[in-house]
Amino acid sequence: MTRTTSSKLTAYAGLAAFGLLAAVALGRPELAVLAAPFALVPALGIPLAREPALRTWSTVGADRTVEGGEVGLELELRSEVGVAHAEVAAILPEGGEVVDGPHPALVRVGAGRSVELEWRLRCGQWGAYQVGEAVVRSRDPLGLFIYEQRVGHPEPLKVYPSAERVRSVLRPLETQPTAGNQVARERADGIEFADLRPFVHGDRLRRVNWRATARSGELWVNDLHPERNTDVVLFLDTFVEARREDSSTLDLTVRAAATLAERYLAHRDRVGLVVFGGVLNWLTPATGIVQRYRIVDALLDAEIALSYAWKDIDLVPRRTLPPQALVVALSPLLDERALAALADLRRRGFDVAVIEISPVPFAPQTGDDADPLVERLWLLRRGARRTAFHVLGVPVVEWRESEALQTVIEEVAAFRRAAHLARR
Amino acid sequence: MLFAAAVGGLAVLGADELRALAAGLSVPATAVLAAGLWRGRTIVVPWALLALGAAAAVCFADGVEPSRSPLFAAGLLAVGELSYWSLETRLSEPAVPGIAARRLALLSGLVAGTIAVGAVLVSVAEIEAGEGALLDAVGVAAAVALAAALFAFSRRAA
Repeated sequence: MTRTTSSKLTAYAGLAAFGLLAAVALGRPELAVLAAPFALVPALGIPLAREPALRTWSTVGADRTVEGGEVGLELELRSEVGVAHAEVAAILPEGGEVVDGPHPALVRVGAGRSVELEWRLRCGQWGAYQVGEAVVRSRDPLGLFIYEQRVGHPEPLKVYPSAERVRSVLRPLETQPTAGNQVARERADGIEFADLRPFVHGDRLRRVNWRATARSGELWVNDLHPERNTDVVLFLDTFVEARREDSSTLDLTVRAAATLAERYLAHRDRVGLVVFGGVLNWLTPATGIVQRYRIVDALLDAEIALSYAWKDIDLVPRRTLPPQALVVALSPLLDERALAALADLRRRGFDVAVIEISPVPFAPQTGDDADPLVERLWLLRRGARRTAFHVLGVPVVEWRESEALQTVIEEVAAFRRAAHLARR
Repeated sequence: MLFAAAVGGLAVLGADELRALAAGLSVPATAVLAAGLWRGRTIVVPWALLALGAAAAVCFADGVEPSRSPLFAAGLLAVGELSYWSLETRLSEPAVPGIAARRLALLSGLVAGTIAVGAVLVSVAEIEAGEGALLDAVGVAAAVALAAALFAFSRRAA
C-alpha cells in the first residue's frame, strides 16, 4: 500500500501559512480569520487519518470465455476502522471493459462492515489473463491523505479467440490410412463413386454395376473412393507482427488458426500446430476435443518475441510434421526466416498453402511529405515474395481483416485446382 | 462555483473605492476555477482560493466590518472543499447510498466550526494588547511555527 499527501493538504497548509504571515505583516487580523479554516482542516484531519486496513474477497464468474463474452466479478471489501471515501476500480484484461456495475465505484465502508461490488466484464481481446484484482484509492475523512493498494485475489481467465464463419476447409492432396470424412483419391471400399472397371476375381457381388453390365454383356463393377482422415499442421509465423492500436496481424492469425483447427477437428482430422517465431512451440497432430483445447491453449500463449537468431525448419521435431500432411501457413510474409522455412517445407514434399495475413491495413498512412515510391517498392517486394511461392507451387492468398476467411480458402482451393490442371 | 461566485460577488459589493481591484481578482479567480473544474485540474484550486481571499482582503481594507470575516472564511472553505470533492469524484460512480449526505454533513460541520473559530478570533483581535516590535516578532514566530507544524505533521503522516 502506498500513502501520499493529497494536493488539498499541501494547498491548505500553504494558504494557511501565507494568510497568517500576511496578517502579521500587514497588521490585518481579518487575514488571520480568512486563513484560519485552512489551518483548522489539517489540524483536525491529520490526527484523524488512519490506514484503511481493508480485507477483500473476490470471485470471478468463469475461468474461460470467448472474445466478446462477459464474465461476472464480485468483490467484497471489509474494514475494521472504516473508510470514508474509497474509489474501487477492477484491473481489467487487455481490451476489456465493464458493461454493468459502477466503475470505478465510489464506496464508503463503515467500521466493521463490508461492502459488496458486482461488475460484469466484457473481454475484448483473446489471451490468458489474471482477473479478480482491483485497485482501491481511499482517503481519510477530510481527504488529506491518499492510500492506494491492490486488493483481491487473481484467478486465471482464458479468453478464447472468436471463430470466423467457415463452411468448408482446404482439402489436402493426400489422405492418411485411417477413417475420416475426407474423400480419398485412391480407390477402395467407400461410398463415393469413382469409376467403372471390368469385374475381376475377388470382387464382391454387391459392387457389380448391373446397368453397365446389362449394356455391355460383361460384368462391370463400381470403383469407390474411401473416406479417410488427414493430417493438417497449422503453421503460425510469429516472428513479427504489424500492429494497430486495437488489433494486429497476430490477432488475425490466432483467430484464423482457431477457426481452422475447430473445423478440421470437427471432420475427425488430426491437427497439429507449429508456432514458429522468436519462441518455438508445437503440438503433434492429434484429433478430438482434447486436442482442440490443447491447440486453443497453445494459441493463447502465442506472442511476438523479438529474436535475431536464424531459425530453420530443422528445429521443428519431425513427428510434428508427418508425411503427406497439409501445412496451412498463416503468415504476414514479413520475416525471411519464416518464408525460408515454408519454402524448405515445400521442397521437402509437403503440401503447403499460405494464407497471407495482410499487414498492409496496419501500415501507417503515408502523409503528404512521405515518398509514395517507398510504399510502392514495399508492395512490389511483397508481390515478388508471393511469386516466389507460386513458382514453387504454393498458393499464397492475401487475407484482410474485413474479408471473410471462407473467401480466402476458396481462392486457395481454386489455385490448387488450377495448378493441378497445369501439371496435367 | 456558486459559492465562489457568491464570495467574489460579496467582496466586490462590499468594496467601495477598490471595487475594480476586487472585481479584477474575483472574476478571474471564478473563471479559472470553472475552467479547472471543467478540465479536472486540481492546481487551479489554491490559486483561485488565494485570489478570492485577496479580493476579500481588499474589501476589508476598503472599510467592510471585520466582523464579517468569519463568513468570508467559511465561504472560502466551502469553495475549497466542494472543488476538491468535485475533482475527487469526477471519474467514479457512487456504489452505495449516503456518501453525498455524509460529506455534506461533514462540510456543514466544518463551515459552522469555521464561523465559530472566526468569531472567536475576531473578538480576540479586538482586545487591546498593545503593540511593538516584540509582539510582531511573536506573531511572525507563531505563524511560522504553525505552518511548520502543519508541514511536519503532514510529512510524518505521509
